[in-house]
Amino acid sequence: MTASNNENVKFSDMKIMGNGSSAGGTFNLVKIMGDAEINGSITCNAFKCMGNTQVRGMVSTGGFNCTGEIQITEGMRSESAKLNGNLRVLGELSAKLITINGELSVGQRMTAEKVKVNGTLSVAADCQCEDMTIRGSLEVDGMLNVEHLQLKMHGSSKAREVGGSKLHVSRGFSVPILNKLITSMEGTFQAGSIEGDELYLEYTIAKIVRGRHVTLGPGCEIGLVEYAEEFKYDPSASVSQVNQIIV
Amino acid sequence: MNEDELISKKELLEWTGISYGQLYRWKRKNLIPEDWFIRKSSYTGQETFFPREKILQRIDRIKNMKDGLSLDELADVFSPSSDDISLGAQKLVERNIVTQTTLHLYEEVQGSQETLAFSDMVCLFVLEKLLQSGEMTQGEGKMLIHLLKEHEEHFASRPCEVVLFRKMGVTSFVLAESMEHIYFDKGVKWVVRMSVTACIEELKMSLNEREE
Repeated sequence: MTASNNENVKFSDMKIMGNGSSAGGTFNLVKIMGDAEINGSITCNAFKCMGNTQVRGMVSTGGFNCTGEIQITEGMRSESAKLNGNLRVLGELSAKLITINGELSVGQRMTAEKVKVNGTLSVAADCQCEDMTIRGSLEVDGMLNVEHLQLKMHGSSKAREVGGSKLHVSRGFSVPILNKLITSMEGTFQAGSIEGDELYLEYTIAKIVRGRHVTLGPGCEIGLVEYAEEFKYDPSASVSQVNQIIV
Repeated sequence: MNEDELISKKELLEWTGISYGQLYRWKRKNLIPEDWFIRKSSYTGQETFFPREKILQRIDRIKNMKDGLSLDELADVFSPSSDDISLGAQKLVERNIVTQTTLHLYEEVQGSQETLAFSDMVCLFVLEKLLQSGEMTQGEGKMLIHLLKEHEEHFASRPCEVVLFRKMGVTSFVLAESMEHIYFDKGVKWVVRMSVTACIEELKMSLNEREE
């Protein structure tokens, strides 16, 4: 293991191969292959990891690229974050571009510009971003504020509140016969309220849906729909109350 | 807060003609502060309300300005934090942002500086507005400068208000984050109350305008 840290403008690299630990600090490149424990916050230009890492502190980096399992006990800030595996951030997460194959869980607020997830995203507080594409499941225990949401569900998803402009929720492809047998289990989206300009919802259970153009696909159970211009629904969708709002 | 001081989200959209997409986009860009979203339970579950005056005024201004500026530039105008704007003291006078009298008074207390940081400009601007209101004397102005200089990090990060009050001819200032629940004894007279945050917005607006 080599770990060095100096106060010069040009920071050195930190590489951990095999088993190792570090106290954190400021680096140019951090590269971990194997098992590492970092007992402190890390600031670096690039963070790469293959294996298992636990950071007891905060991570702020230019690029984050990991395969394996990482836990960060405080927040994380990065320009871009790429992950194959499992990332747990117990604090806030902010990044411009997030690409996940696997699982990401955030303990506090999450802010991003573009998010692409194959797998699971769960955020324990508010989540905001411009563009979000998810194939898998989504769980936001707060307000999800997103300009453009594309959610293809495999498994169940939920959010307390969703607001945005273009929201598209549908079921991902799966085995057709199995689907019929256990319909209630297979992918529904539960939300308190969903508000946006153009909404397409499938298999969604929500108390309130409000929008300009609202389209309900199969399997929706909505308490109240308020729409401004257009409302279409699948015969299998159940809606208790519909109001048109004149703007 | 009173019921009629609040406006529901639905009413707001009907009233202003903006869409959900716009409202949420502006929220993401911090054009509308988080704490203006007030959640209350109603018969349909939770409803979101806003402080009526503030939100209507804010949306009006966003709509008027958004053609000239990008959303990020707009967010800058509304954020109370001090950016890396600095200007020569005389420039402010030339641009009619502050008067020579105000600047003299400020320099008497702080000494003359060649360039002013943004927080200094805010201080000058608040001073100018209060002097012009005719409610504050120059001597009291000096007190104000001391107060603002001492606590400049507070109004840079949070919405603040400054209040001038007198009792039996003795003047005091208060710089507060919230004046909602403050009660004084009988002899105290509120003379002026001014939002530092609003002053910052106004100052940024006038700085932006003249630059073009």
